[in-house]
Amino acid sequence: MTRNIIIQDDDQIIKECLSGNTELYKNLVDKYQIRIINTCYKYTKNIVDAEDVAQEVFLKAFQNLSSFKFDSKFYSWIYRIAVNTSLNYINSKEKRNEKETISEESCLNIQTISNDNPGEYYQLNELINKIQPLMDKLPDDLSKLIELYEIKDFSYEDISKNLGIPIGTVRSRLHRARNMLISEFKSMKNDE
Amino acid sequence: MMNNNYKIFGLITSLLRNDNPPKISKNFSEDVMTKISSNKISSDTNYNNYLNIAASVFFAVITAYSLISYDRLETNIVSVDLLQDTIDNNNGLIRRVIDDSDCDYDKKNNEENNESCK
Repeated sequence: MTRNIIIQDDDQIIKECLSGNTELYKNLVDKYQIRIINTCYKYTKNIVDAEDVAQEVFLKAFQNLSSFKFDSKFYSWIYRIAVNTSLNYINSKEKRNEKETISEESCLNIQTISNDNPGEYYQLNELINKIQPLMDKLPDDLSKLIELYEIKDFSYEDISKNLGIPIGTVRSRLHRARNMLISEFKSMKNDE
Repeated sequence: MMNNNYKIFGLITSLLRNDNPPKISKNFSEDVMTKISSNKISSDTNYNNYLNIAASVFFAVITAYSLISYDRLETNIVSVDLLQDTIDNNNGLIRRVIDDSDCDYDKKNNEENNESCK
């Protein structure tokens, strides 16, 4: 089952996007949407605005993909775009607020936003407690790799030096760890 | 190739990092891709418009250049005619002067027979 799961490296996806296969950009959006929306949410304090800003962030990143330098991680690059776009959004909102006075109409708009359809959203807080057990099911060496690469943002080289294993092995073990996590998640959702 | 694994893996890592908002809309990535493709279409349309304008300017320049060149050619033809007229007129004058001297003319050709040169 795990053999069918293919998670390409970000660099590979970006290179394919740049060579014309732009549909693959969706994989990057899927992978980082939650973290980017959360970054924007920290600034906007409103999930609807955060998603609007995050959309702009992914659009800007796509338009400037050719300027991405492969010496850093894609997430670090897009994170900086997210912070700058959020700050711009706050500044422009403050300017708008200076011009506008609070009216009954704007109060009604806020009410409409807060009563949006819950069926259109994934409630993420419900899932938090279910993820850690999936990590616990992984063999120790693989969960350590996931922790170092995906959570602590170590590079392949750093992990290789830290654990004393070749970079190729780091890559292949990470690939296996990702596949196992995704399979475990799918089987958990099937069981529910 | 589109697959759901990136979404799942993104969800797992963001939850492990505690880097997640309370909720996100289910079709966020689809909305982003729609926006990207519509943006791409509009930029393609802009590109086509610029191309049309560039082509129009190019042909306008070519036409203007052709007209100016033709006009110059016309002017040159007229000036050649005028020059020819001048030359003809000059020849006429010259001929007239030569014609006045019957003696010289005949001297070359038929000196012996021309009575006036003797």
